[in-house]
Amino acid sequence: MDNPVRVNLFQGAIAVFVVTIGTVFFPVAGVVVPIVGQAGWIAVLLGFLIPLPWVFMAAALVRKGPIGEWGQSVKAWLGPWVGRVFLLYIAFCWAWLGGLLLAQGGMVFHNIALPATPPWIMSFALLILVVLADMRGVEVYVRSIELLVMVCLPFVTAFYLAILPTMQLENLQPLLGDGPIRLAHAVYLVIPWAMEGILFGLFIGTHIKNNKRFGLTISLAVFGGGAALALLTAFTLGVLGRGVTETYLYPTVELAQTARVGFFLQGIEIFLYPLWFLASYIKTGAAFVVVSESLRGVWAGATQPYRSLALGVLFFAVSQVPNTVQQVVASLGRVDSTFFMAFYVIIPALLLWVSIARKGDPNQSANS
Amino acid sequence: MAPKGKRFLKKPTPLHQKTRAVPEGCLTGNLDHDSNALKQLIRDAGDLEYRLVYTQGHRHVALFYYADMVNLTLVSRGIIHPLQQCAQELDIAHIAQSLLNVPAYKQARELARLAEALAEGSVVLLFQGLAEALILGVSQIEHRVIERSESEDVLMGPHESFSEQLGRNLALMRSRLATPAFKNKFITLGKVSRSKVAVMFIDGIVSEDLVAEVEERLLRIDIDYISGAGHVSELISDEPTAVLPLLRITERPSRVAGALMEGRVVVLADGDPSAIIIPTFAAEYLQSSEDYLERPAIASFLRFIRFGGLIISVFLPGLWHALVSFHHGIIPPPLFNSIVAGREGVPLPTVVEMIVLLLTYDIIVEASTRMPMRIGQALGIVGGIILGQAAVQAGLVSPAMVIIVSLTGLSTFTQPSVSILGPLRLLKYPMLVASSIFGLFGLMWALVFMVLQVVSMRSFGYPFMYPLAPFRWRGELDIFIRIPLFWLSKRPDLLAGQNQQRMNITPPYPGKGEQDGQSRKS
Amino acid sequence: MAFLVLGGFLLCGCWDQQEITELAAVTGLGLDPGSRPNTIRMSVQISPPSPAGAAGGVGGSRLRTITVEAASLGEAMVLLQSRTRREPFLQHLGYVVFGEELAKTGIAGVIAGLQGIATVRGSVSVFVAAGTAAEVLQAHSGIGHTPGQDVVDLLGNMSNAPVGRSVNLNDVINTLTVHGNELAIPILELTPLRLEAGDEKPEVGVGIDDEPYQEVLVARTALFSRDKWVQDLDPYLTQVFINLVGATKSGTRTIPNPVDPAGKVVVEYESFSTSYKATINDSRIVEVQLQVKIKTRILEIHGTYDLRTLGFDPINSALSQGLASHIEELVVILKEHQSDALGLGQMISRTRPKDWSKLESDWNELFTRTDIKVSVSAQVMATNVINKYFEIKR
Repeated sequence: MDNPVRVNLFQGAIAVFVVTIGTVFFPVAGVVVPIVGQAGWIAVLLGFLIPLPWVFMAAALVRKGPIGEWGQSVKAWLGPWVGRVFLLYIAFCWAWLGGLLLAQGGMVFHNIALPATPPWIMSFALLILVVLADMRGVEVYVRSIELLVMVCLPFVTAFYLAILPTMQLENLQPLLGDGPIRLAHAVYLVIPWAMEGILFGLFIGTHIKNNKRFGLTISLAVFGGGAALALLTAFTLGVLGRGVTETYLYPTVELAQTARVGFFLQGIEIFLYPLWFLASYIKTGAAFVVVSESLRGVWAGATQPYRSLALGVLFFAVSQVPNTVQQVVASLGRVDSTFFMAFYVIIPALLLWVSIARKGDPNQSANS
Repeated sequence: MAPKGKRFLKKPTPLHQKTRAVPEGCLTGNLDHDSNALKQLIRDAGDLEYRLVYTQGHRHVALFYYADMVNLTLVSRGIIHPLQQCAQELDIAHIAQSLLNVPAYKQARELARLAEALAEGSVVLLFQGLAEALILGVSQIEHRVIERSESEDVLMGPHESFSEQLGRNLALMRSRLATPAFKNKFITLGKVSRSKVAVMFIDGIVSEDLVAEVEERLLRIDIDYISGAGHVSELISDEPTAVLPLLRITERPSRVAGALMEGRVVVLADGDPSAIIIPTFAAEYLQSSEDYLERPAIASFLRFIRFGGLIISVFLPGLWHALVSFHHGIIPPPLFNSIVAGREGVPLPTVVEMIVLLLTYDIIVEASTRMPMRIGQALGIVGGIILGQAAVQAGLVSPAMVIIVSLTGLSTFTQPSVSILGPLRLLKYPMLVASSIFGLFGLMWALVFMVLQVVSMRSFGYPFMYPLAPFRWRGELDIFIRIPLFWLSKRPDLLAGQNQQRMNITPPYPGKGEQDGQSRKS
Repeated sequence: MAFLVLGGFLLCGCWDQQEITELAAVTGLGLDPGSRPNTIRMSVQISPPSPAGAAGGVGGSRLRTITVEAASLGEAMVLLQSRTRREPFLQHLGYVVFGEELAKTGIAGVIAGLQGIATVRGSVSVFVAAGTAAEVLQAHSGIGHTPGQDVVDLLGNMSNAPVGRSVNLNDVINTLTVHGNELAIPILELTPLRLEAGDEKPEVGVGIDDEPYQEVLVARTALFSRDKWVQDLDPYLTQVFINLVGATKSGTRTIPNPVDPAGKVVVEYESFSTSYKATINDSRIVEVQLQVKIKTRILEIHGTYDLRTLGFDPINSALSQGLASHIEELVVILKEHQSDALGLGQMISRTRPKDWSKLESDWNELFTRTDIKVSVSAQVMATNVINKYFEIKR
């Protein structure tokens, strides 16, 4: 009675939405505000608005391949050998990113909540979950996201409700005091985050059966993620003010520490810690699953559980390279602005190649 | 109970062929010889009755039966008396069809078959000069009458519960679902116990694949003794080792009828009042059958309480420990001070204190559930109140901890389903351990681990967490609030593929049109 | 075996696990200059829990103040750990008090130190003390928890008590990192607490019996120019100031009775709205039109005033004049000390960022030359339920 993979469009959209927000919600204000100040939230919004055409390109790509397995789709687009190279590249990018995210997950907890616990232990604990999710497959991973989003919802709501009263709108002025060039710079830093969401959308799209409205739904998901981040940036600015926001690596933590919920809870960190953990799991898991499925496409001999275990070792090794949170964030920025930025060229090129090369083969998509 | 011969290839061989070396054979027609052979076959059976009847046709007939398993009135009036009056030559067909006054009969000539029939509560007749015997179905076994359900008691709605007798249970179901579409297939399980198991479903709603799968899994069971539905459910479960019950067990006919009408399959076993509902989704454990008798707003509130109880019973000890021993900053100062004041001088570390208290609580619960009602109450009072009070006054535990533990314990019992209580009582311990290692991080770790477990679980191939994951908006809503019935006009889409509509709604909804009319008039 | 490992884990506690009884919550922090140059004296107010058994109830915890001296705040924190058996724990820190001397020499250094301690929240309230911070921490509060916490609570729900604007650590950082705004922090003062015969001696915060009982009160505001305390505002100007910056809309004013000079009129604000309009000319002289609109309700009238014949107009104009002169007085003080505590500069920067870029670099100097024109329009809306106030026939 078991079908290979059953992911529906709604699940895919939720997964893309959450992966897009991912762990970015911690540093987002700290990245854009030092550059454009009060226009930070506009930069975030723009940074997620501009890449939307690429979502539709990804959707067009998805439609040209068979449904059911990521590796098969890529090979259907590009042929077996070029496809393998592409898969390897994707795996390389995501593995690097995922390893760093793993490190970040542990280090942030080490810094904000558990100063005596060694960060590698927490990264390792996180890794166990991610490996477990990958062993159970894409479907279980996506479904776990679905359930965890429901867990997140009350936390997010409580978080926003708690900080809303401390918001001061005048802190958001002057809106565009720093000029368009700095705004463009900030947008440039934001754009790769959107690409992470788009790539994951591309990946998950190859598992979705009914993908008629795929482009629209996924672009809504990506933009929704961006809008949520923009809202958070605006909140951070409004509550903390520019001067304070600039001084922190993870302003969201400070935001949570600042708000007071009155009698029962001193700080609303209690809502933030779970959110951070879930975001770390979801984002690292996304990276892990993409890498794992890519490798399966490259070499069919990589069977479970050996594939997941070997990848786990790889991720853990990558996560142990940086020593401090600052290094992690800097490395993440570098990976984003090089490898993920490159996909803004790669995806259109891919689409062009596929449309030209597969023109004479109209039955391609009927194979699924 | 017959069809589909192919599957019956695996039919277990009868007990006596394996366990005892008995004279294999058929009847000979010599009554003395046959009687002795039968007695020899069933030796050491103190309750076996043997009676000879002498007919007016000067023939002997031997009656065998187990006392207390047959209706003695029927035996004397329907069998012995007509036989005594019989003046004709003995002819099996004639005797069975026109002489005897019994509801059911069979013919047989193998001794082993006769022994089995005796064990089932039939009367066996051996005739002088005939190499064939009659098996007469006059069994009457004393059973419990239909009673209130103890484990799933409700305040409103139907109270009756299944009893141990399969036939009566099926009759209960038939009376609720008076339609030829209500089907039940019989399967015999257990090489020794030979229990009958009924697979019930509603034709036209149920998915045929599901029925086939249930039958296949049942037939795959090769076991000597089946004690009842609980036994069966573990043997056919997708993950027998899972902590959560993947198949729901109920003893309420009303719930079974509801499940059948949603397109599920229900398995009932003889000798057990419990029915297995296949498949089961996790969210159903939160739903009580009373919910649909109560007004939506009230039922929703009660569901909210139950959901809160579920969360509290699993997470509260872990969360409390994470707050008190790891993230002190989150506790507001006044509360902080009172916790510190209460804990001052308590010798045990928080986590040990909590585990000890939780275990004590579970011991009290376990002790009082096995006790009769009155003693149980006394136990609860002594255990809960006096012990807790004394422990706090002796400075062994802090008062806050007693509150946390009792709240946790109480919350467990908000659940409407008994089978979920065990898992809930167990799950709080791993959560507590995880949080005692990593604080909130550990608690979240354990949560995600649990989520990964439950989303990968399947109940007969259906995702256990449906409608949460995979997500169905309407189903999801029905978990947290009890939505009005006219919104639930469709069956769960995963179950009833072809026949989804269960209610036709002609807008305006019942009553609405009249009200509008009245208001317009006034 | 697994149980043993698990048991070991549970018993030894893992890394961050810390029993709540091993902590001492720091509720207040006071900072003064140390006895040597470039050192600071840090006083922390710790609320140790009530003794075992907790029979005495939870509220009556005795406060203890510990003082350490060190070169920097971080070092002081480390030293502090050696002074208490329980580990001091800063996440419950409610307020920070800067001693007068420290505030007058500059608080930037300690602010950086406070920000460096990760467990100190940005929402910690900030005060300055008239005198030393240590004294304030040791004082007794009227009712309630700790002296400072009472004030924090007071300022938190200030609708009826316009005595100061609450300032937190994040506000301080935000103000100091921009031009065009200055700090104005409430001053905590000590006042002798008189005990009547038969009163129980207050338990909280009292060290040695001979020491006078003192109580904390807040009424004045310290004006800052950058991180230095330069001037005090008296209670009247404080009230005008916090109304102007919008920290509260409430407050009362007492003006002479316009008809009967011997009497008074007391009004209560129903609303207080301020609007600024800035114009900048070529020689970078800023002209600010400060327009205040108040709506009031008469609370009491002393002396002769016939409401039915005179109406509200005389009171309105007297109110406007009185408030305008008070505001002008405030502006003079602000200009004199180069302290743009009203945030005029920031207001310009928010509404006209282009003009601001020309002014920003030497705003402090420009501010003293700014022409601030004050206009007040007052309106009495109601007189409670009284038609005619009583007059004494002499």
